[in-house]
Amino acid sequence: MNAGEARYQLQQVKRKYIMLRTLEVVLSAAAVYLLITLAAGFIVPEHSIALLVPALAAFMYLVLRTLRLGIFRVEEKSLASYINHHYPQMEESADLLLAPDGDLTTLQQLQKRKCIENFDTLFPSIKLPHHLGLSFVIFVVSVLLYVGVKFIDGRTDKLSSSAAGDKVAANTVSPVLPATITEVVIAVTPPGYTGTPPSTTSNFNLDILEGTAVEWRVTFTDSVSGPQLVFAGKDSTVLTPASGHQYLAHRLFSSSGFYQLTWKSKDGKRKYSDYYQVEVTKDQPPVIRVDNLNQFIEFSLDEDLKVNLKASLADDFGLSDAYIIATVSKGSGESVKFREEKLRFDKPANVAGKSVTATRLIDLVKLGLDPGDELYFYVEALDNKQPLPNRSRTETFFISLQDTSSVTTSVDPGLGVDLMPEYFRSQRQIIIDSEKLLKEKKKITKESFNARSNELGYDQKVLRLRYGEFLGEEFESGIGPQAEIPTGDHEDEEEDVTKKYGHVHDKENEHNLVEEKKSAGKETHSHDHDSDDPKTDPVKEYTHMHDSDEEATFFTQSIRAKLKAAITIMWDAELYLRLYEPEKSLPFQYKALKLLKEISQDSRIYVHRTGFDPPPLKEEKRLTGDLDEIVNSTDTHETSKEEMYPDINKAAARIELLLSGDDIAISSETNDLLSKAALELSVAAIEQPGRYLKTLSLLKAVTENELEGQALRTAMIRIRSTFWHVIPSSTTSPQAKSGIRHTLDNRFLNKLKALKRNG
Amino acid sequence: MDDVMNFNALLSPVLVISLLVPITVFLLWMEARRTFRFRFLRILSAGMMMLALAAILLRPSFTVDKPGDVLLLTPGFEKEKVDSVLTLNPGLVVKHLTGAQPHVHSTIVRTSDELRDIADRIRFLAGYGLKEAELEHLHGKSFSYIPSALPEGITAISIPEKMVSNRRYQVEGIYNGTPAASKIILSGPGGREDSVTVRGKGLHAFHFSYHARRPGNIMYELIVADSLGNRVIEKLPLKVGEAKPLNILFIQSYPAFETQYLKNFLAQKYHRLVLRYQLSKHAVRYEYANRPPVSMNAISRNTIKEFEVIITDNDALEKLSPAERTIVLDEIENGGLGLLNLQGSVPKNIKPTDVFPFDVFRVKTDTAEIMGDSRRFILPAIPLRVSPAASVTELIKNKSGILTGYGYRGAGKIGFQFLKETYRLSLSGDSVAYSEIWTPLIEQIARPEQEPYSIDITSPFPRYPDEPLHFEVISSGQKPAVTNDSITVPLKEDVLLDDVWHGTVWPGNSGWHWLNTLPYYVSEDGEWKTLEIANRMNATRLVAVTGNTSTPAGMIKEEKEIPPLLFYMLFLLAAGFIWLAPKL
Repeated sequence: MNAGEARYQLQQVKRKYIMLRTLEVVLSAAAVYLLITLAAGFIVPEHSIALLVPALAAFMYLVLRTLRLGIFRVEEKSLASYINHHYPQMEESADLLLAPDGDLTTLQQLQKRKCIENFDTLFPSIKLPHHLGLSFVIFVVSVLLYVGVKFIDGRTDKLSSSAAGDKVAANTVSPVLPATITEVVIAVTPPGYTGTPPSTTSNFNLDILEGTAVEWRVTFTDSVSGPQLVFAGKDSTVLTPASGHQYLAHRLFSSSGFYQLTWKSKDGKRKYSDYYQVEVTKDQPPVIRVDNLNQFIEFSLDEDLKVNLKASLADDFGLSDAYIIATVSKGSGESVKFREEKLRFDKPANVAGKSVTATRLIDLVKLGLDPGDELYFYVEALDNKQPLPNRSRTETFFISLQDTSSVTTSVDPGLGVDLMPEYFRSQRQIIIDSEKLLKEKKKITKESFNARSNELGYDQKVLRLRYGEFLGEEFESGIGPQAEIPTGDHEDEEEDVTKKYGHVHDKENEHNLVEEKKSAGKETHSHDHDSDDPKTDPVKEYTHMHDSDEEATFFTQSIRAKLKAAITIMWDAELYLRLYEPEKSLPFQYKALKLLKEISQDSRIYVHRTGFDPPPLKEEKRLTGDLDEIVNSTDTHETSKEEMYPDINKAAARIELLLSGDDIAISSETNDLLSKAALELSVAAIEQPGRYLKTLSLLKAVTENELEGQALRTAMIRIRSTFWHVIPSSTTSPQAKSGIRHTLDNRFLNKLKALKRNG
Repeated sequence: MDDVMNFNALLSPVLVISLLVPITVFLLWMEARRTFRFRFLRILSAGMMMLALAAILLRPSFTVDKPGDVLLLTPGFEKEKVDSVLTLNPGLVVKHLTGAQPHVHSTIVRTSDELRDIADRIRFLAGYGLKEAELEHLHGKSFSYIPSALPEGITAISIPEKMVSNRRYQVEGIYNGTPAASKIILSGPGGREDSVTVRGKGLHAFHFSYHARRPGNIMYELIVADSLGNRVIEKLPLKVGEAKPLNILFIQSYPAFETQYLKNFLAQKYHRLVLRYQLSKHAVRYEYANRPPVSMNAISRNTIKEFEVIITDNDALEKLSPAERTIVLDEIENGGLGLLNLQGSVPKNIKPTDVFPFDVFRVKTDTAEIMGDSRRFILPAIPLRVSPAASVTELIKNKSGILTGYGYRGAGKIGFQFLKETYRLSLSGDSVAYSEIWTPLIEQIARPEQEPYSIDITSPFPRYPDEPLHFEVISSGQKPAVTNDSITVPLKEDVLLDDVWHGTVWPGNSGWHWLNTLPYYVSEDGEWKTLEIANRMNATRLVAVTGNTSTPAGMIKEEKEIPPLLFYMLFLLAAGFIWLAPKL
C-alpha cells in the first residue's frame, strides 16, 4: 500500500460518513413529516394547511439539520484529525497521509510510511460518529403511529356510514348534502298499525308508507336563519331550533310529492337545497275471495239447507275484522220484506293477521228461509289502517229456496203494469172450454163436437204462437222435442168453478191477431232466409248480430227453458184437440197451465212507470203557424283554454338560443325566465315527481350559478329535453298560410278568365 | 419561339433611365481615368454592373408560346383518372387549387384572380369541383368534368321549409354508405326521435319523422354512428313557425250536428269563427267564436274580406240573394277566398255549377271506407263522387272515387266534402282521424295571407361563414327592403322578370341569422362535409354541361420573367471585380 491508496481510502471514509449522515437526516425528516401530519389532522382536519405545514416543517428540519451537521462541508483534514483523536495507532500522524511527499521532511516521510501501514490495518475498523440507528427507530415508530391512527380513523368512518346505510331501504345512492349542512338525521316513524319499526336515515329521498311521520334533524355548519322545508314548491314547514346549529321539523305524509330545504345563511343569502322525492306507498284494502260457492244457488226444500261458506281474506298489513252481511227477502209482489243480519265467521272467531281463511256454515232454516224466499249475502272485511280502516266487500251471492207450492195468481189493480197479461188466462180459458165441451159431449152432435174441439185446438195453437213470440219464434217452427205424456188423473174436471166465468169472446180477437202475425211472420221469414245466406250478404260477416231469434227473449235462461217446455206441451194439447179427443188433451193443458203459472211467478218484474208530463197545450194557439216570438239568437263563445306552460315555452326558446352559442352565459333575465319555468315545472312535478325532479334540481343549480362550462351545457341539454317532453301533443288543426300575389299571377288569372269566356 | 422582351418596371422606366445613364457615363469615365491594370475589364465591369442594376429595376421578361389547355385539379381528385386523362392528352398543363394534392409538374392556382385568368383554358376539371364563388368564372366555359367518387356520409338532405308547430314532419336524405353497417339517428331537443340502420355501400335513401312541438328555431342533430363507434354529429337547423288561426265563416241553411262539431273543433284551436244558420224563414242564429260579434245579416264586400274560408252548403248558397252570391263568387275568383261546399242534401241536378264546378257521378253505396293514417274506417257519405280531373286536387279518395278535394276557381279554391257524420270519429275517441279529415281540406282551400314580398334563399343547405349566400325576393309591386341581421342589403332586379330581385350576403359567423324575418342557419366550417361536396359536385357538373362548346384555344402566349437573381449575381460580380482590381 502506498500513499495514494491510503488517500483514496481516506476519501472513501469521508464518502461513507456523508452517506450515513444524509440517511440519518432524511429518515428523521420523514418522521417529522409524518408526526406533524398526524398532529395537523387532529387540529385542522380536511384543510390544505394540514398538507402544507408538515411538508414545510420536514423541509426546514432537513435543511437546518444538514447545515448544523455540516455534512457537505466535511474535509479530509477534519477527518484526519478525527482519526488522530480516536485512534492512537495512528500516532497523531494521520495528517501526513494528506500531505504530498515533497513537502515533508525525511522524518515525516518515515512517519508517513509507518502511518500508511497502520492505516491499512485500521481502515476497515474505523467507526464514524452518527445517529442512524436512533433516527431509524424514530422513523419506524412514527410510521407505525401514522398507519395505526389512519386505520382506526377509517374504521370509525366506515362504521358510522354503514350504520346510516342500514336504515335506508330503497335508495342506494345517497345524495350529496348541501354545502352548509353537516349532518342530517331523518327519523321515519311508520304508523303503528303497520308493525314496521321506526328507522333513521340520512337520505333526503324518502320511500315511506302512507301516514308515516317524518322528523328531520338537520345540523348546519354555522348558524342560519329561517330554515324551512318547502313541500311541492308551496307548502312549507319551519324548522325549529333544537340545540346549537341543529334544527327540527315534523311532517305526516299521506301522498307522494317532493320537497326542498331552504335557509338563510349568515350573509343574508337564501340558499336552496336540491329537490328530494317522497314516494308514499298506499295501504291496500283487504282482498276477499270466496271460492266454494256459485253466485246463484237454488235449493229445493228436500235438500240439506246448509251452505258452507269459505272465504280467504288477505291484507298487506293485517285485518281487523270480517263478517257476512246476509239479507233475507220474504214474500212476493208488493209484500216483499227484507231482514238484514250480520253473521260472524265460525272459524276463526276473531279475524286478525295478514292472511286468514274464514269459514261459516249458513243454515238457511235457522235464518228463517221459507220456500220462495231468497237470501242475499256478501262478505265484508276491514283492515287495521288508522284512523279509518280500508274496507272491501265481495259481490253479492244469491241463494233461493224453490217454491213448490201452488201460487194463486193475483192481479193488483194498483200496479202500473199488469203482471198477468191476458195470454196467461187463455190457457185456463181453453181448459174451461175443453171441460165444458166434454160435459156437453153427449148433448151435441158429433160434428159440432168435432168442430168445437178443432176450434179449441186452433185456440191452443194461437196461444202457443203467442208464447212462441216471447221466445223469438216467429212462426210455426217445426216439431219441438216431445214431452212425456203424463199419465196424470183428470180429477180436477169436476171441481172447476171458474168455468162459469169463462170469457169466450177473447177468441175472435185472438184470431185476428194471429192472422196478422202470421202474415208478418211470413214476411220476416223470407227476409231472414235471404240474410241467412252469407254469400249474398257480405255485411253479415262483419256485423255483430244482436237480434238473433235464439237470444232475443225477455226472460232469463231458466224461464226460457220452462216456456219452451210449455210450448212443447201445448203442441201435444193441440194435437189431441185436433184429433177430437179433448179428454186426452186436458192433462197437457193442465201441465201447460202449471208451467205458465210458474213462469209468471218467476218473472216477477216490476218496472215503475216513468214518463214526461207535457205542459197543457194552449188550444187557441194550436196550428196557427205564428212564429213571431221566434227571433234571431246570438251566441258568442271564447275559447278560454290558455296556452299550456307559457314560461316553459319561452325558457325553451331561450335555452335553444344559448345552446347554439359556444359559451353559455346566464344573464339575470334568463335567470328570471328559468325560475318562472321552474315554477311551472314544479306544478307538473307534483303529478310525476320522479320524472321532473332531476330537472328541477338542475334548474335550481343553473339559476344559482352553481354550474359552469361543460356541466352547464349538459344541464341545459337535459332541461331542454324535459321542457320538450312536458308539452303535450294535441291534434292538428288547419293553419293560415301566407303567400304573395305577383303581377304575373294576376295576368295569368286574367288570361285564364278570358280564355274561359271566349271558349 | 417568338422572343419579345417586356418590362415590368418597378419604378417609372423614364426615371430609371434618366438616373442610370448619367451615373453610368460618370462611372465609366471614372474607371477610364484611373490608372490601374485591367482598364478594359474594369470598364466592362462597370458597364455590366449598371446594366444589372437597370435590369433589377426594370424586370425584363419574355413572352413564350405554350400549349394552352389546362387540367385543373380540385380537392379530392382521383389520381388514376387524372393519369388517364394525361395519357390521352399529353399536352395538358396541370394546375391544382389550394387544398388539392399537387400532381407531377402541376402548378398551384392560389387566388380567384388566377383562376379567372386561366378559366378560358380549362379543358378538364377533376375532383370534387369548385365552390360557388370560383365556379362563377367558369360559367359559359366549355370543359369536361371528371368527378370523383362521393365520400361517405349524408349526400343530400331535404328539410321542410315552412313548418308550423304541433305537426309531424319528415326530413329526407340520402346516405352514401360504407360496407359496414352504420346507424343514422335523428336527435332533437327531447332526445332521440328516430333512427335507421344502413348497410352496404352505395346510396341509401332515408327519412325520419319528427313532431315539431314548439315554434322557434330548433336545433336537431343527425348523428351517423358507424360500427366502430365513431360518431359524426351534423347539426340540422329547423325553423318552426307559430300556428296562425284562420277566419272562417259558416253559412248554413239549418243547424246540423256535423257543423256544430266542426265549429267546436275549430274554435278549440283558436280559429275565429262566425256561424249563421237559418232557423226558420225569418229567424237566424249567429254564433261567434274567438272574435267579437259582427253583423252578418247580409254578406257585403267588406265583411267577406276578413274571412279566409266560407263553409256552407248548396241549400244555403241557393238562399243567398243574387247580390250576395255575386260578391262571394267575385271574392273567390279575384280575392282568393276559399269556399267549402258541403252538400247538405243530394242535389237533383248534378251538373257542375259555379259554386260546385266538379263533374260528379252517382254511386249506390251511402257509406265510404277510407284509409286514415293509422287505420281504416267507414263513414256515411253522400252517394256522389267527383270524377278525377286535372282541375281537381284530391285529398281523400277510395276505390269508388274522390270524396274530398278541391279545385281552383280564379285565384280562390272551392272544396267539397262528401263524407258525412265525421263527428262519429271524434266521439269514438279518434280525434286524430277527425283532424286528418278536416285539417288538410280547410288548410288547402284557405285564402293565403297576402304578404308584400317573399324571400327565398337559393343557395343550398349547408351554408358556411364568409361564403356567398344568394337569395331571391319576389314582391307584389313595390321594391322590397331587405336587411341581413339589420344591415341593409342591396338588391338587383331581375333582367327579365318584374318584381323579382336578387341579393347576396356573406354571413360572417356560424349560427342563426335573419333576412328580415326569415331565419337561416349558417353551419360551422367542417360540418356537413359530404353534403357540401355533393352540392359542389352537382353545381360543377351543371356548369360543365351547360357550357358552350367552343374549340380549344391551342397554343397560348405566356410571359416568362427572367429570374432577377441572375442580375443580382451579375451586379455582385461586377462590383466585386471593380473593388478587387486595384488590389491585384
